[in-house]
Amino acid sequence: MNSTTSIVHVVDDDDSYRIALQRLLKAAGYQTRAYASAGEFLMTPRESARGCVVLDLHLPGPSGLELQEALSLRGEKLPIIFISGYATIPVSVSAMKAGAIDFLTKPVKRDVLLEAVEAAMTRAEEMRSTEATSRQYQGLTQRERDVLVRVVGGKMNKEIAAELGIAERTVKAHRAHVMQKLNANSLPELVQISGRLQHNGVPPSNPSAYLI
Amino acid sequence: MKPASVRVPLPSATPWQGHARLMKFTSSPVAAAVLVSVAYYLGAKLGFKLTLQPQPVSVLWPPNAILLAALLLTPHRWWGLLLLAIIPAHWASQLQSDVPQAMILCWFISNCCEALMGAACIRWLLGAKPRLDTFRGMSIFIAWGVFLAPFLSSFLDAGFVALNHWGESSYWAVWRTRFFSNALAALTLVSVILSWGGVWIRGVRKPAGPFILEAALLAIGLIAVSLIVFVRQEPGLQTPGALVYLPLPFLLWAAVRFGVPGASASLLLVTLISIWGTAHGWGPFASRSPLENARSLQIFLLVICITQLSLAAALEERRKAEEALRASEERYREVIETQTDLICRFLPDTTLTFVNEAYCRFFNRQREQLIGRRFIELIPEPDREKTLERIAALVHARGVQTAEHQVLLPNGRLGWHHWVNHAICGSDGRVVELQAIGHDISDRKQVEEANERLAHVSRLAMVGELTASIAHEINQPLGAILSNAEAATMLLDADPGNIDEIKQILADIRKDDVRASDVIRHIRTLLRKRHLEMELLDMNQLVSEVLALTRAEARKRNIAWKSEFAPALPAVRGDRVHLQQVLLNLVLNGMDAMADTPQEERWLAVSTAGYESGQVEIIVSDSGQGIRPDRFPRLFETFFTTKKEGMGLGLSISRMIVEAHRGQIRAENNSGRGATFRVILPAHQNVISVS
Repeated sequence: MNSTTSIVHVVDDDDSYRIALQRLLKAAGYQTRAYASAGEFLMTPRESARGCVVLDLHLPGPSGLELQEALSLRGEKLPIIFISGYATIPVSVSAMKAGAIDFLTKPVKRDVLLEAVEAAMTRAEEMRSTEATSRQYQGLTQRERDVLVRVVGGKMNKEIAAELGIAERTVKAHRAHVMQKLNANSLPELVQISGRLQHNGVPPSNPSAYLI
Repeated sequence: MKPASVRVPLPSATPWQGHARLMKFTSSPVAAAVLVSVAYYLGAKLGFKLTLQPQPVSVLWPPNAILLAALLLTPHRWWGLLLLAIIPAHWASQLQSDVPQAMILCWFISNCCEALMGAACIRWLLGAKPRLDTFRGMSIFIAWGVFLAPFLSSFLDAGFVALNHWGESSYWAVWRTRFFSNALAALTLVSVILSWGGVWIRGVRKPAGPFILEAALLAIGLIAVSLIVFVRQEPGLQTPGALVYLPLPFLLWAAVRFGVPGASASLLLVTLISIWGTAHGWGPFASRSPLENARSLQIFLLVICITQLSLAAALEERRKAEEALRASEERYREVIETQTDLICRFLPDTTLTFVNEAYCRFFNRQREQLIGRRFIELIPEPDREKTLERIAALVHARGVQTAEHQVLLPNGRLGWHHWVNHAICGSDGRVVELQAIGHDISDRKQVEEANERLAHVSRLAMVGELTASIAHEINQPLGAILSNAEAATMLLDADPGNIDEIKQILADIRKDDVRASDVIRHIRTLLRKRHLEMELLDMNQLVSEVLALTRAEARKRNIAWKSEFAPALPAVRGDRVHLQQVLLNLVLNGMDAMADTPQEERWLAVSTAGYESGQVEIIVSDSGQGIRPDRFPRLFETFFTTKKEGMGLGLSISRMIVEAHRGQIRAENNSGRGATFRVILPAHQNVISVS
């Protein structure tokens, strides 16, 4: 296994449930790791940054929600699927708000679980590519970001040049740099990348100029 | 029971009463001394009168008998005074018959010796207050007072006579005369004085009319017969000797109907009349020389007196014993009949042989309707077999047994009774009968049933509070089963040859299934309505079962969990469900108390402990808000609550349950945060080792 392998982390204090879940995920073709408590999960070094967490809501010691909070504070962006024997609506709402992929109630049917895991994996991939894009975005100069916002906003080069008080040729050069730095081959692609950036909270420097 | 039939003949109490009366009358020894002195003098005069002529032979010599009777009736510290008091009487009586002074003194000495000897021996054998109304008392009196004392003292007397050269009779003639006259006097007079003295001292109820009439008839008949036999007859050999037996029927009458007092009085009467007649030369004993006449008369009287007095004493003893027995029986009957408890006796097949008043009253039937019937008919059908089994067990095991069962009330409804049954064994050691004492416990049972219903409702409420936790406890194994089954299916689809893994999965599925059904069974037991069922319980196991139910709840509320189990904890005899209810209540209370406690400070600790004093303790501590001091007094009261949704039943029911187990429940505040509840239960001897 190398560092790019995706792993499903199972955190549940109930031995037999944890083992059953691990068996099922393994049978479905996933690599799994199992932990009996939140602490154990936090203390274990990750073999791979890719993957997701199947997390029991009620754990002895720190609960599932607390683990979610801890991961987010550490900046570890693993999508989380909560599983609970019982759950109240406020609890599930707060879990979802904090970014959980899904909130499942035991007993969990195979299809539901695997669907959720699949969604989490996709989400992980998305998050990984968004992260790359956002790193690329960080590489843009202020002027290039200004140009990007306006290009995505549907403005003509001439209008942008007028707004920014620079030559139209300069705008063209900035635009080419942006396309190159963000790995975009066409304008629609650029718009898509920009949308993903926005979705993940990477703001343009000047929100007042941001037009949609 | 009619009060008229209540008699209080307490034979053992009367001597004291009599003693008091005796002391009252003769509280002054001087009065007694004067009385004895006068009686002694008159007795001597009578003795002189009852001599056969022409040669004076005394047939009956009363003074010594009077002295003996006086000594027997008075405390021994008075004896000296009494002896001194008779000196003048003795001299006065003897001087009249021209007896020398020395002889008078000698006779005084021998008379005193005789009386002292007799009195001392009788007192020694019969105690301070000798009585003649028992066969033993009469026998001892006759043996020592009538025979031995005159027998011995007569040697002294005859010796004195010989020493003083008084009279012409030989030593043995004097001895014989004195012995017989003194023995007869002692027999007739002392028995009269003692028995009538006893009657007078003890007091009798005012005699009834028929009694007086009968006594009068007896007296008249006896006097008439005695006169016919001993007075009106012509002297001589022609006299039919068999006639001397004529007084016998009357004497028997006296002995049978009037006891020792009647017999002794009758005998004295016959004695006096016969001597008087013989002295006058009448009757069957006047045919020979005065000496021979006197002797045969004395022997005749001694024989009659001894047999009659012994008979009278024996009869009276038996009558008194019967009276005492009857009194005792009546006392016991009274005790039984005035009981408010139901008392009955029955054969092993439940046929009633005795029932008391309360039993009849309770079932509203006549005694005759109950005796001979089987009481099993008074017990409702479903309880009958169990009752018969219980009685069979008691017949087998003997001893005592308690039982509670339902009974059919006269109004057709059902009530509850508590009975204590006692096996009664016959002489061969087999159980012949059973005795039972019972009382109505319907009221108590109603309260118990109400309490059980209340406990049940409270249990339902608690389980309701735990629904989420219970769902968790069941869903956990169910979830594992589902995932395992699905994993197995997928594994089989992928690689049908992987049997080992499939086997392992199936084993896990079975394990989880058992786990889920255990939870459900546990909940069902808690929810069922039931009576107290006592069994030997391992408190550690009981505590862990409760903790399993509440674990998820504690997690939900972010409460840290500590538990500590004492090793080798003694077993407790109790009802599993009810004790779990107590514990569940304490744990839930503890959790509720921590609602306002910061999450990181929430903990609940449950531990068990065993003590050498024979107690097992379960301790539940929390870090909640604690108990306000002003709330302690009402903490375990019904409907007292500080919770918004609480009914105030939990702790009061807990206390009720713990007390039904002869235990205690206590609450105290921790030194830091929160409160601690302790349940202390009596331990059973058997130790259940805890794994």
